[in-house]
Amino acid sequence: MEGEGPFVKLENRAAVVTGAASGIGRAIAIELARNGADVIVADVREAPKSKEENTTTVEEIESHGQRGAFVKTDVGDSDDTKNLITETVERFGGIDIFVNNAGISVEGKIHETPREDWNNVQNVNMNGIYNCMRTAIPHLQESDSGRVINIASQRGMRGGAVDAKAAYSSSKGAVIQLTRQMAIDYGPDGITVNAICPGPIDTSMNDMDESGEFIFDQITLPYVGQPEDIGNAALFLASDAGRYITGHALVVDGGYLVGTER
Amino acid sequence: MDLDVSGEVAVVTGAGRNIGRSISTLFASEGAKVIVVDIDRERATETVDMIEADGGEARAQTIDVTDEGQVRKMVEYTEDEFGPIDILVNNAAVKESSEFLEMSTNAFNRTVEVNLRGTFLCTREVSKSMQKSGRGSIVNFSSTSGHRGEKYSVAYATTKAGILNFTRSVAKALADDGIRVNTITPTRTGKTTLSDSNVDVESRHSDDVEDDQIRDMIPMGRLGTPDDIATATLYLASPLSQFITGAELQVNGGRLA
Repeated sequence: MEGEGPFVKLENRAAVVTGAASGIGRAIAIELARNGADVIVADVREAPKSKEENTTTVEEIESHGQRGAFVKTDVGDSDDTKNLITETVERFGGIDIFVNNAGISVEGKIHETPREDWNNVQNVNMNGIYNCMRTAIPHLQESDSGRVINIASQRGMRGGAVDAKAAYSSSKGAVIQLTRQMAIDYGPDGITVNAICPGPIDTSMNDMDESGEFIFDQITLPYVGQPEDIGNAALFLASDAGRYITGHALVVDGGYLVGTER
Repeated sequence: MDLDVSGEVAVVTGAGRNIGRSISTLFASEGAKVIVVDIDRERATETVDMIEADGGEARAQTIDVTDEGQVRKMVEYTEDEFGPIDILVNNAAVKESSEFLEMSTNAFNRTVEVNLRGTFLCTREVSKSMQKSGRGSIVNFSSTSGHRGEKYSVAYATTKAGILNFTRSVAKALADDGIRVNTITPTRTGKTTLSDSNVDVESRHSDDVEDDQIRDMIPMGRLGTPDDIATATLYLASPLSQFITGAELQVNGGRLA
């Protein structure tokens, strides 16, 4: 037996990935499908943001022979998330893997952040997880291998000087802490709950957020992270190989957090 | 891309039993050529026999990882047998156990020597081999006590915290060579098997906690198994984790949550 180990196979698993139309969420959905999972794409939009991608995530999932469906969802809206869970269970019969990836970011120090922007960020990044988990957890409890994967950020672990993101950083720090608490709360149910903390990843979100001022040169490794790197981390945590990992915030940042200073 | 290490050359220290043995047999079953390093010849040979019986490829190297000359020879031997090294797993460790005020200086020194100097020597010498191919993955081993401390194993807990920062520092030093360096943080995989030790410095403290007490501290409600740790190590060794360096992967059922 060489390569293609059984460890990252997800046959017969039903997955939901929020924010899966574009970027990191799209890569996660595709990696899960490539390895055998059926995947619901939950997003406010169906088409990818990047003009370079001319297929939808659902089309990519289906190209791997898996079932996929788009469910229009604003995770900040509890009616939407209730509908998301209902639709998923109707189509797939349950939920084994839930990836809370939907997130937004605004720039600004706290006194420069308009209340509406602040609330929007917290509503999507934190309340979105609350909305999804309230209705999804009972289904994950019924799974033999329940997995929750929250996409946080290395900005939830350390402040950043290049660009002020008070709302974003605080929301991602909260996601990491929520991950720990959920791990303790749902460990007895056999559900693992982990966070992934991406560093600078080559996505349209970074294009927009950095306004051309790239932070990629602060990555320790001599290459920039791709959405697939986060997809692979999610795949690992979702698979049997990650069965004993819970309550952990896995940093996937090319060494950004340890820094390039000597 | 998957957890593919076929054709890669892996050195695993403390590979004569438990976690180290599990890692060696898993890597070999995934196609890696494995150098089984242990201070105990019999245990190392046993691991190699298991791998060969399964159709895998491995060689035993009986060395003390604290001995610079022996580590160098191990690297030379590996290159002669299999070629430049791709993967290093620094799993060899010892754990002393005593009341703090009764801990001997020898016990402290030996724990530091194996856990830190051993990891340092293997990392430095193996990195030179990895430089030749311009890539590599090094996995070091910390412990939950490296975060939380441990009153009957003060030296052990201290070295395991040191491993976390050794990893960060070396990750910076080796990044331009395409070498990634990360830490796995397991928790106990069963008292009777003394998971992460290959030399017992002192007999274990009689009041040391039992498996049941540890289990109660783990949200997932069970102790880890060597296989749990081995699959996580395979992830960090494989290209699936190519954007991870200087990081920690906690594999402990949520004990540090």
